Amino acid sequence: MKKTLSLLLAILLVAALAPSALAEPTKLVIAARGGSHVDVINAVKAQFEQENNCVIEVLGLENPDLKQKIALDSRNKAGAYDIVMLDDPWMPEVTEAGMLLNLTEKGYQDDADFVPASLALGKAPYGTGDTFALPFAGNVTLLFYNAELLAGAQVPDSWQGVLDVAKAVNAQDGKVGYVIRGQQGNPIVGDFMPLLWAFGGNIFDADWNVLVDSQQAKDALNLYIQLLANGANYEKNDIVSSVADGKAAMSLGWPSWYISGKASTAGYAKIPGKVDADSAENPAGMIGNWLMGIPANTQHPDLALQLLTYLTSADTQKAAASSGAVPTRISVFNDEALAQEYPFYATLLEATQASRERPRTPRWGDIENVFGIELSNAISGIKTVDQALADAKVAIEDVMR
Amino acid sequence: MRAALPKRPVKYLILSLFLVWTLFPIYWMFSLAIREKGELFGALSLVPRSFSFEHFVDLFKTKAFGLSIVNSLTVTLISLSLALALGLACAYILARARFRFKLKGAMLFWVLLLRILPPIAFALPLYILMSDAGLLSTKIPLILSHLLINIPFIVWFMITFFEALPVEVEESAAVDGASEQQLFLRIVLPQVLPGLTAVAILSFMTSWNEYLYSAIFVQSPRNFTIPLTLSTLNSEQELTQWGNIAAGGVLSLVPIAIFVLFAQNFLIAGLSGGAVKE
Repeated sequence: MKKTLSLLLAILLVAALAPSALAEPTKLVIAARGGSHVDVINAVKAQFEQENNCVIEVLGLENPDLKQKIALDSRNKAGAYDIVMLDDPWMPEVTEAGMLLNLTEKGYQDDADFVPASLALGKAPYGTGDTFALPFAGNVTLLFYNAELLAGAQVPDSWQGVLDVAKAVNAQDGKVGYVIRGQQGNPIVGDFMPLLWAFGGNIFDADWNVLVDSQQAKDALNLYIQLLANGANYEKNDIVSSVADGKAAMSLGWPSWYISGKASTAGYAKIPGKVDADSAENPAGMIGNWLMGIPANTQHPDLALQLLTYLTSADTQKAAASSGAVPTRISVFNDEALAQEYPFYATLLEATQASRERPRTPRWGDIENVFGIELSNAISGIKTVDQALADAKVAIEDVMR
Repeated sequence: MRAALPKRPVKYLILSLFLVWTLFPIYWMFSLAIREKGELFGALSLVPRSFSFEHFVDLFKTKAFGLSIVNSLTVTLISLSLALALGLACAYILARARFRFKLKGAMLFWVLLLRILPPIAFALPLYILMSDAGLLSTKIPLILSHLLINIPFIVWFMITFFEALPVEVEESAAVDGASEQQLFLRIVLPQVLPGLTAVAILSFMTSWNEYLYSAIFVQSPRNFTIPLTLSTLNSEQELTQWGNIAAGGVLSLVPIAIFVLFAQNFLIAGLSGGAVKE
């Protein structure tokens, strides 16, 4: 027994000490967001491996872990990763810290086929600077609705219209008019920002003065609270099931919550950019692309750039569509065969073109936290709208100081 | 006897409530794991309306969960063995105060400090050390970080067991010619078997479920442990895969349950064995 145990322990020890890369050819490592993105990369990588005689390993991680790993690895002289996936709000932080290779300096020429709103996310400074990352996966928040509960009424194109429908539906046969995602932090901020933008408000002005206590912000938050009064506050899985099952009429959400493959479990439309029928239209959908960049300390910069170009090419995006990839290229969105197969592409393209990016500051994560706390205080009645937004302004200014 | 009777229903009621409170999360996890995907979408009933192993199959087919189990077992068993060997020896030496210099208090505090400080405090220095040593592509950083967590716990847990032992037994064994090694392995350890078993179970569970250092040190999908694999099943832009997460939770319970059942026998044997020579 003792011998067996000793032998087992010795085998385990050898297995643990053996480097993963033992006896393997040169490999490229992609640090990616776990889940469907990893499936997509794995589905399309074989051709590149064959053509370039390399092996691609995909490390799928949860959001905070991915960001942490990218930051930790950036301090190494020889980086462990050749390509990293980046949630677009991380861009100011990673580019200011010099973590990414400047693709423009490396000779990359911008491709006009990318949706401009997506391409702009990978530039530093935003929209105008050099390109540091390319859009790999498209995403923008949409308005989702249950067509039966709308009962023939038109899909609202203004927030007053959304509220009217919510009022008409709510509490009838136990139905819910509108579902907000009111959990503190990223959920409530992501859910509220489209309203803030539609009302003409924002977090900052062009000089980084904090605007969250503006009249537009107060009006937007008041309407958000009215929507809650004519609806409910759920977590994302419950939001999706309630709208899809016909318990709730409307919610905002990311397409991948509702749309899987060719089918959607709910109706979808661009998020209204108007307060009411008479007001001006503002871009209101929140863009949330996943980008891909090359760490500055990669050991294979040339091959990594080739791989990055390959993974974001139109051909690859077309091939990856069946694995659930959302494109970032106009030609792929407009591809006739794909558009027939994935009818939501047209709405997604329209919404992306009319989308807004979250403020480009390295401190966005902290801002999301403090702003989310005050929004939560307002919807739960702990503070008045005025007080919550005034406190949010002070908190955000503290973060920015 | 009669006076005690009315108390019994209340006692049983409270115990039953406590039992339900404790066991319900485990029941819920099992219940989610065996439902069909369709049933998990929408309002959930307390009792499953469908039965399926699809989440388990999905985990092994698409998430390489078998490899995660092997990795978790490898890291846990190696780190537990090393932590027990080092921690028990350290606790015994400190308990018997075989130091001429008076540093026992300071050393104990130093060991405790490792346990008091939040694990994240060690993350960056350890990462730099491991990276500079070129060990990040192996499981060594993970094993060492688990030692960092478990050794202080073992020392502090076991020191009271060693101190409670009558020193006469060791002295008589020494008189009989036992070496230090024989004394420790054959005389002392059998007497602290209950404590050893308990600390082994707790250390096993700590190592098995450890997430933070796994997330920091693991650099290859081939080294993913169970908690790391399960964490990727939930993301902001995708729906949470509750069925797969629950199935993973059920599977990760199995080794712990086996280990506890296996160790319980030793626990009982240790308790009933008797240590002091008549």
